[in-house]
Amino acid sequence: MSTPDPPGTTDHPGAPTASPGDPAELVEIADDTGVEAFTAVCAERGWGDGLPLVPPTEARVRAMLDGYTGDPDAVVGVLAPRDGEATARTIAANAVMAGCPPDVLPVLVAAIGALARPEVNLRGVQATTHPVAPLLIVHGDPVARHGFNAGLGTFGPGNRANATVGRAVRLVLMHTGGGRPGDGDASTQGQPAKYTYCIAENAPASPWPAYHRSRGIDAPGAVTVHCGENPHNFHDMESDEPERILAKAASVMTTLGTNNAPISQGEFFVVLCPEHAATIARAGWSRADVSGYLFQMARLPAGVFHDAFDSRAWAPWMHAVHDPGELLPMTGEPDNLRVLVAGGAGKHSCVVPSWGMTRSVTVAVDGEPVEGA
Amino acid sequence: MRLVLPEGRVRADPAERTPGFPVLAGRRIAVLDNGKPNARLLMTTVAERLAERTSAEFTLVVAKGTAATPAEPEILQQLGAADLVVTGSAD
Repeated sequence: MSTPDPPGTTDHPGAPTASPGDPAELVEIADDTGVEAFTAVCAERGWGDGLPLVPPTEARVRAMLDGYTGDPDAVVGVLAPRDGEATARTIAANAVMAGCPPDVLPVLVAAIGALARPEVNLRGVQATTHPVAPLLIVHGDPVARHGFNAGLGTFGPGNRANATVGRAVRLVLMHTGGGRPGDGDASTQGQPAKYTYCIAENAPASPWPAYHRSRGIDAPGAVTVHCGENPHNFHDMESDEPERILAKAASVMTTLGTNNAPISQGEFFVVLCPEHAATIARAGWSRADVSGYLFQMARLPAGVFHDAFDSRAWAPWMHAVHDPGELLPMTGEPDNLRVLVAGGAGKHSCVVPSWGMTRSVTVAVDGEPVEGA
Repeated sequence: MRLVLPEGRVRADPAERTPGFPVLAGRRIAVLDNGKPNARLLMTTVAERLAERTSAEFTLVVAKGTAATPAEPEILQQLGAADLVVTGSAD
């Protein structure tokens, strides 16, 4: 095997050249598409997540945009802290780099548009010392169309769509949003979910309506972004009662280490495996019943909160309680407990706590063919 | 080989930065406590020493709700009474 030539660029790294007639910014680099050469170019420019990347050549980006029905140069969102303008074209460049399949662009555009919404507080999400990462959840028709894994190992490796779309979101946040570790991303320790963090709702295995429809999104496909921690597992391999299963979820939720303890209004995403969900639904419980039960059960004595924190970003109702024995919920209302089904066979579920000062967003995926139309 | 840059353009910032003061003597210094542990102590100490060294006046300490979000409009309005604001403490 021959060693590739040393990489080189024909321009200064900080001086991209605009292409006449093409509003996207382009750069010319040495014509060496080897992995080692392009990896070195990326290192020189501060691109990437440390793993090998696919060069976003004009041809590849054009292929990624092929079939995209929107304006490729319209601003999808302005991403903090860099205040970079994400367009379908820049998102496509990052999708190419991440190794995405070409037809998945509408899912990514929807995800980036959601992350740019003010309620996400992307400046805080990107710049905090907390290890928060946006969890992307894909709902509805795009799951099967693009081959997302909603089943066994949905949070894990081995599926191109989950791995690369989650990775592309991170690359956009780093490149366009400026959230590079130590420069825009101050996360003290980081976390593995900052490489890629994408799952799909397993609607066929869910006893309840699709999550996005429960949030009022009447569309064949949608995405949710939830800026949170890594998944916190809980298992129950023996119970036939919802209460006994969800007691484990409540136990996972009532830890003083999550931001929900000093910040009282964050969301929890409760991602139930199909078998837990089936057991719970067999008892006649709805999705709202699960949220309501966990809201009641995931509580700690006020004195425990007060002993643990001097610095608290609590809502007024938390400050108003002075009886140290009074039980206080981990979040302000049952609707902050978001329930959906993902995963495959087995009896492991998880909770994804929020960073706290952010809200999840669910939006429709536009620009895709409608099944059966 | 031509590549499409993955960064995208930076949105033009419509705000103009106030030019710095050549001397601080007679100027009013404020502290914006962002709520991080010991932020008020650290930044107040910095402001006091700065005032001593420059003959400026340390006039105001205000706190915003949380470090995770921008200061509320009423906080910014209060800070408008100062010429210089000390802020930005992390963990």
